[in-house]
Amino acid sequence: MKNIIEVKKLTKHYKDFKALDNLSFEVKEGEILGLLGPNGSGKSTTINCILSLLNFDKGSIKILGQEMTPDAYDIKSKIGVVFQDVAVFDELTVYENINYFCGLYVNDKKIRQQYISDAIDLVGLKEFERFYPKQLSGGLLRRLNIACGIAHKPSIIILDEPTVAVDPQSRNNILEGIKQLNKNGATIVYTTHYMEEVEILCDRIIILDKGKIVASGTSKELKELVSIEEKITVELESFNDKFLEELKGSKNIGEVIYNDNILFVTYKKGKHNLKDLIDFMQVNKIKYNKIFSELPTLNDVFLELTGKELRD
Amino acid sequence: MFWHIFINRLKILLRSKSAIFWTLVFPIILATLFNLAFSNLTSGEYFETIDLAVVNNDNFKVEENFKDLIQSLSEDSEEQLFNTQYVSLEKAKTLLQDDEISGYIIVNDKINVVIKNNGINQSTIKSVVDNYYQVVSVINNISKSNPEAIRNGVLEKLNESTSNFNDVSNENVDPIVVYFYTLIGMICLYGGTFGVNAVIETEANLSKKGARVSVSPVHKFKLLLASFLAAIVIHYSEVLILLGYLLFILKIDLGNQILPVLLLTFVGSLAGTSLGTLIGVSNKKSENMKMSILISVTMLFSFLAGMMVLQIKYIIANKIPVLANINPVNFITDGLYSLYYYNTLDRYFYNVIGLLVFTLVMFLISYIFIRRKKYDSL
Repeated sequence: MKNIIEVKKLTKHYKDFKALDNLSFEVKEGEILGLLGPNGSGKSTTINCILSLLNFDKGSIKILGQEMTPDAYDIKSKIGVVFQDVAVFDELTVYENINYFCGLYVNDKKIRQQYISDAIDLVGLKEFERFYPKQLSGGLLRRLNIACGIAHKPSIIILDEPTVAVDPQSRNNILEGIKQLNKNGATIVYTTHYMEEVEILCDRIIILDKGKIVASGTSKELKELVSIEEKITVELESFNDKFLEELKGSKNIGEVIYNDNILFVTYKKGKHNLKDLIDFMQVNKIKYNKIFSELPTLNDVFLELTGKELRD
Repeated sequence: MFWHIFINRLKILLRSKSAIFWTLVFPIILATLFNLAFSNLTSGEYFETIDLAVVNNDNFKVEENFKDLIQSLSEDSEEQLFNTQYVSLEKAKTLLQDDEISGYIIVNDKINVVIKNNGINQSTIKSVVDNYYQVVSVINNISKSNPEAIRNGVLEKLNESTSNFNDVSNENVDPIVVYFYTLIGMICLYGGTFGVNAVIETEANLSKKGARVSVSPVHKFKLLLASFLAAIVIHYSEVLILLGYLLFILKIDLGNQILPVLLLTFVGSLAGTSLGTLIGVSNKKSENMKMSILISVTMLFSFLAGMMVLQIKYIIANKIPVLANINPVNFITDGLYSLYYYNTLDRYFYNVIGLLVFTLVMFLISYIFIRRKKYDSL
C-alpha cells in the first residue's frame, strides 16, 4: 500500500513549549489510522500542521507524494476535515450548511445535490434537513459537523475528536458512518482520547504523549507491549493476610491488591488464570459475590509506557 | 464558486438578526427619535412674539428713531418681534407684575428696560435697546468726526451691511439636518459589522468556520472578495433604506443632489466595511469584543463629527483639523453638508477622496494580517 500522508521529523513549538517533538509517521492508502493520546498530547497540532494551517519549526509533510502547502489546492480538494469544534453557520439550515461547504469543493449543482443527499443519509439527518443548528441536540450537531466535512466525498478524511461530548446513539452513528466511508475507499486519520473508539475503528494506532510517539502498531501489537495478560477483579465477603501472601506466591501472578472487600489480581501470562483463581478460593473456602476478568486495554499500554492514565 | 460563496454569504448576512438589528433597525429607531427630539427643538426655536410695554411718556414721543424702531419690530409680519402696548407707567408696572409682559421700556434720560425675571425674552428686549444705542453712537461719531461721509452715503452703506447680514441669517439654514448627517455617517461606519464578520469567518486563526474554509481548495482572496461583496450589497441596501426613510417618511431635507449623496454614502459604506475588516483581523479578541470595539470607535468618530454636540464638529475643525481629516464620519457629514450649502462640488469631492484614502489605508493595513497563510497558533 502506498503512503497517502508522510510526516517526517515534525517539530513544533508554541513559544517555549514543545508541542511536537520529531514526529514521524505515515498513513497508508485505505487504512484508518488512529492518533490516540490524552488532551494536550499534540494530536490536534499534528492535524493542523498536516493541513498547513500551522507553521512548524522543522520537518516535512507530504500528501499524495507532494509537499503540503497552503496553496496546494489540488491536494486540498481531496481532503475532508472534521474539526473538534462544531463549525457551521447558525443562519443556514442543515441542508444549506452542507451545501455551502460542499460547494467549496464541487461546482456542479446536480452532483452536489446527490453528494449532499448521500452525506445526510450517512449521518442520519434526513428528518432534520430543514432544521437550523440551534434546533439540534449536541449529538445531531456533531453529525452535521461531520456531514459538512465529508459531503464532497474526499479520498482522505481527517477527523479530530469528532465524538467529544456526544450521546451514545450519535456516537454509534458517527463510528458506523466512518467505517462506511472507509469501506467506500477513503483513507482516514482519526484522533481521539477514547481508547474504545480506536479499538473499534482503527487498523493502526499511534499513541502520542507530550508531542512524541510513545508506541504504534495494531491494537493487538500494542497490547503485546504490556507485561500483563489478564486482569481479574473479585468481590469478596472476607479475606485475610494469609490468603493474600499465599496468592502472591502463585504462578504467573503480577500484582495482588486487596481493598474494601475487592481483590484485584493481574496475571503476567499463562492460560486458565481465572479457573486457577476460582480453584484457590474454593480450596480455601473463600466466599465471593462477583468475579470478572478483563484483557489488557490500550489504557494499560499507555499506563505502562508513560506511567499515567490516558484520561489524566 | 464565487457566486456560490456570494449567494450564501448574502443568505447568512440577511438572516443574521443581531447584525440586521444594529445596522438597520437601530438606525431607523435612532432617526425616528432624532426626528421627534429635533422637531420639538425646532418648534421651540421659532420666535414667539415677545409681549412688551412701552411707557408712552413725552420722552418716548420725542425719541422718533427709537419709536420707529419699536413700531417696525411690532408690525404684523413673519419677522414681528414684539407685541407692543403703549401704556402709562402705572399700567406697565401692573402688566409686568401680572406677568402679562416680559418687560417694559421707559425713556427718561436714557432708554431703560425694566424686567421682573431673567430670560431669553428679556435678553432680546435688552439687546434691541443696546443695538439701537450702538447704531446711534456710530452715527453720532461719524457726524462729529466726518460729516462729509454722511453726505456721501455712509448711512446707506451701513444699511446695506445690515441687509447683507439679514440675507445670510434668513437663508434656509437648518442646523438640525447636520445631526441627521452624522447619523448617516455613523450608519455607514456600521458596515464594519459585516467587515468584522466577513474576515472572522475567513481567517483560520479567528474562528472554527475560518479554519474549515481555509482547508478548502478556494483561494483565500476569492473567499474574502465574495464575502466583502455580499457585505457591501447588504449594508449599502440598508443605507438606501435608511436614506429613503429619512427622505420620504421623516421628510428630512438632504438637498436636491441625490446622486452625489448616493455616491458619498456608498464610499462611506466601503469605509465602514474596511474599518470593520481591520478591527476584525488585527487581534484575537472574541467576536463580541471586536463588535464592541467597532461600535465604540464609530461612536467616538460620530461624537467628534458633532452627533451629540454640534459644536464639537466646529471645535475639532478649528483646533485639531488633523482629527477632522482622519474621521470618516466627519467626511460623510461634511460631504453631505457641502452638497447642501455649496454650489460647487470641490469640498464634496475632497470628502469623497478623504473617505477613499481612509478605506485604502484600512484595507492595506488589514492586508498585512490577511496575507498570512499559516499561523503560529490557532
